Amino acid sequence: MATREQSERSLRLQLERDAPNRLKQAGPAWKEATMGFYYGNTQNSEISVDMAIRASTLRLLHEDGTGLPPKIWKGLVALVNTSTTAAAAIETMRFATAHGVPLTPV
Amino acid sequence: MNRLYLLITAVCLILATTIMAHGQDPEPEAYLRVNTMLSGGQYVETSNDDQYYYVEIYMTHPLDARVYDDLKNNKISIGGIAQGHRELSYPLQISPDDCPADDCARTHFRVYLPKTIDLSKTYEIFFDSYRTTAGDNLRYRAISIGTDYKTSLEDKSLCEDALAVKIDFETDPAKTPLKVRTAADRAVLAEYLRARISFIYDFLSGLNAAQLNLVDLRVRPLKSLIKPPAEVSYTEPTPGTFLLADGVTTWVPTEADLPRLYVTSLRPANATKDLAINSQFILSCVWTRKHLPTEDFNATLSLPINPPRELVKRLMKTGVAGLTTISSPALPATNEKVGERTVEQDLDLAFSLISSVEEVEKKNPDPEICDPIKTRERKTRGTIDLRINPLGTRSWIFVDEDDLNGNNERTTGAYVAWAPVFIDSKVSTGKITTDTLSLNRVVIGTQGEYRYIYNNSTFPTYFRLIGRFSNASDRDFKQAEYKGTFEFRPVFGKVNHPLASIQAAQPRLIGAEGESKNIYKTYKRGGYEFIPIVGGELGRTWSRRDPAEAVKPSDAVKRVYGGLEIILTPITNTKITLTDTFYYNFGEVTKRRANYFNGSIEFLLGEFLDNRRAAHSVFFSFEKGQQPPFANAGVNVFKIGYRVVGDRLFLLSNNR
Repeated sequence: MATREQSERSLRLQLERDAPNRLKQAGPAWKEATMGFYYGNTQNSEISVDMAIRASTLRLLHEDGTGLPPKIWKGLVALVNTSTTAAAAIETMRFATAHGVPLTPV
Repeated sequence: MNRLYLLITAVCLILATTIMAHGQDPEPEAYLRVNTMLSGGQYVETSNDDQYYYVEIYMTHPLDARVYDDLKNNKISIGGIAQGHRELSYPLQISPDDCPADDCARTHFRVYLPKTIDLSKTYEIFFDSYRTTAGDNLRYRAISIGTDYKTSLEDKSLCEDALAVKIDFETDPAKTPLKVRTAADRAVLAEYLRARISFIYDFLSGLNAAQLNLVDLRVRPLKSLIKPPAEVSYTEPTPGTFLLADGVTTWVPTEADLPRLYVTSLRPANATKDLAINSQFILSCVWTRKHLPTEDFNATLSLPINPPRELVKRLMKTGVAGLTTISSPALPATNEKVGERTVEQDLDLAFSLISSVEEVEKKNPDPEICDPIKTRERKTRGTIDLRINPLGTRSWIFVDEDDLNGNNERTTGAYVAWAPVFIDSKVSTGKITTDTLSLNRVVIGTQGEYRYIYNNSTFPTYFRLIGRFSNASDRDFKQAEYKGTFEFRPVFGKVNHPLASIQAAQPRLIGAEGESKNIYKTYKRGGYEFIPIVGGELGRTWSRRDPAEAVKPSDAVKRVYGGLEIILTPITNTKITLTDTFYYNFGEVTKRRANYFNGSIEFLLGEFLDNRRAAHSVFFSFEKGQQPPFANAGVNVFKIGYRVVGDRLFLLSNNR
């Protein structure tokens, strides 16, 4: 489970890696931009956004040693798409981590 | 002169620094808290009703040491708590948390309040005289009392179709810097939050059926009329106006008349208490016996079951969407080959009027010559072009987890999609002739795609491997052939900059809600896409029963092909697509090599019928060359048409 600050840090790290030019363009208002601003608005962009959200959420879950049930993953990627703002994506990721289930150590 | 100048400059600098420092001073903070303590391994609220609540006050400047000692020994009063203009009798004292070690900060104060205090009213802290260590005498007339939490009713909380209660304790140091100013402050706050989150977690986890039955969840569907209950007699002179039996009074619904949903569980979604404490929030899905309305609605929730302070207030959420909206799909692609087009949308339906040049045999006007003459004439016919995935497309996305925090500068992963059934067809008016063969094909099959995402970014690089097994036949289903196809389409980010992705960062009139207009910049370049295509086919005819004369049995198919698709979008809403494919056939074939060209210009019209999952366009296209099975002289066709595409419309489709 993640705090808003952790969630924000994880998504920003993802955007720094995937869309550094767009992040620079957005500047301090980066959280107000839509995910489409960073990943474009083509058919593949929805896949790009899903991947970014998955990677950002997985990073948070790894920190906690938790995992998400498949239905939560499904809901998470359904709620975040190219028209979702980064701020809303951060909040949705945070909601998702609340549903995290501790992973049994192997 | 120089000295004087330096002196004036120094004085100005000191003054400016002083003013700036003074201007940056954060305002004092005050928080209403519930006296919670650890007892028998569990956090419980105090049994001392006189000190059930307390207001913790954080001051910016330390209090003068002498005044501090006098206050500590109850010799003086320097402030208190007031409700409006009325000062209350609860004394302001030194907070027990002011001296975590031997050294007291002299900035923390406290006012205890009884359980009976009416918290629906607004209270303020005041200081008549606050003498700082610097010797200043400050006066604070009204320090408003806040809370450490924010409770809300949420709809997009991943509780499937249920609403959720969120109690968020996270502190924003930028907005409330004083309560987390020192390590000791942070430790005190962390312990308080641990106590409260634990207490609330236990409360919500332990609710029994009788308590849940009292939880009042009301919904107000926004498109339905609320009518008077059955026991009220009324007339409805005009729709929506309900006159009571006296004929004068109009019935107006109250909250009690709204549909009520019975709550079956409020158990926190947070798997463990410790996880909730770490994340500093509790999320409880509000599970109900009956589902929420399918139309948009408002909702209110109250818990009249003596809940913790954080859940006392009635919660409200307005404008909850009955159905999740999904963003619009991308606009149409224009690859025209029946049976060889990729599955990307659930529905692609186009109506065309086709004008083509055909070879026609005519009687020779010279009566002495028996041989007919061949002339080329332009003919026009109507065509329906339909692509449909009746069961939708199922897809999965994977991310390479090994490198989430590593130094690799790119995100890699995979996208897998499967359309169990697809129908790809073109059906034309008129008889099937050699020239209309390619316009009368019906292909039914299954298709899968593996997309390796090499670099997830604004302009990503990915490699598409598309496999397809299909059965192709003529319009009348009289000759059938099976075919297995494999295709590889690498999309390189450096040479693929679609206009839609460029425009996403350009200025526009209406952006998303809350989106800043200052983040956009104008790009002068248009979009461009260059996608090479390499593929192979294997198949043969397996059924033949008196087909049209023009439909010949096809040879066993063994071929490879390669091509290039170029999409140029120089201006908004106009798309130029150029596709050229070269075929090479193996075995005994009538044609070893063949070429097919398709060029089109498309005017994109946007959403279709206000449906965000469908779009439409008008197009002109020109086709020239031969396509499998190369049985005729090829096409030379000019088209004008209208197209509708839709995505994620059917049963199995999930969100990508």
